Amino acid sequence: MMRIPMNRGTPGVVHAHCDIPCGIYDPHHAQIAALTVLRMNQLIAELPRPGPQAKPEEAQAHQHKLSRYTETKEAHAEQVKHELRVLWGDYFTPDHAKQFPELHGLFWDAMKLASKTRQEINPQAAQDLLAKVQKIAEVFWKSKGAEVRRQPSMQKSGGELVYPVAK
Amino acid sequence: MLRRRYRVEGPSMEPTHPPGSRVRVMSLQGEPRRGDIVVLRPPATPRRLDLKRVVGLPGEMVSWGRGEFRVNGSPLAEPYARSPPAPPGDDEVQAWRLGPDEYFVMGDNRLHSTDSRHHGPVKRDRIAGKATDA
Repeated sequence: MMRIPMNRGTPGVVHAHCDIPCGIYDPHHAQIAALTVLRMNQLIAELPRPGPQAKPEEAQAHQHKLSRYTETKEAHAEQVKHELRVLWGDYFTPDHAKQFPELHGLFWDAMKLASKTRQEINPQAAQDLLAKVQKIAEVFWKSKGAEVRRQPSMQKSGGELVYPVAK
Repeated sequence: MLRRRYRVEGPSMEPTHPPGSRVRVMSLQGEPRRGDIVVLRPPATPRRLDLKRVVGLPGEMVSWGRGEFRVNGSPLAEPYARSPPAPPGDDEVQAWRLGPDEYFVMGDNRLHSTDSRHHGPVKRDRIAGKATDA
């Protein structure tokens, strides 16, 4: 039997693969990720900065929190882009683009804003990203024949979420 | 070269190994056994490593249909599997006779898995190792 050499280093990736087109799409994850980006911007803005007399452990605690907020912000901005890519590339069709002429522009703007929120501490860009993702969610549900409603997210970030309402 | 630890990407091994979970991989000691979760190189994409469960062994007649996997005509008890209810009116059953060095592998998440039902049985030399919880 073949013996396989083993590497003790960083974890690799193993695929629990599925390429069956299940046809199930939902813009909710993109909205949650956009809300998280907004919340991380808020937390970074609220984070007290250590003064010149701060103890080393206080400066270290500040750096640690800032690192965590930044890492989460970037990860969720990327998550927004992933979710949008799936909707844009897999769900929406050329007929949808005719039905909703603003479709491509919305995705283009949202993708650019998601990149901006990754790169910068920019609460306004995070608000703008959430607004674009909400509009995409509205288009998505309308394309399925549903009415939509907005309601408060009930999260610390504030903001709203878009939900479908069956006719 | 295999690594010892892997991160799972994709939904096909839910609920046992959800996306993002970690598995520990070791070289197989002996032949794969039914129920083993293995790391393999699928026939069409040999550069990729897939995580699936061995459900059919060499020489067996296996079948899949109506949400049920059978070995030599008998349903296999699979408490680990998330199987879809059989669609009404869908009576299609596919069967495979496994060769002397062929294994049938499936993801535990039967509705969302690309596995031997699609690419056929897997040769023994495609199975690289056995996975356990990290």
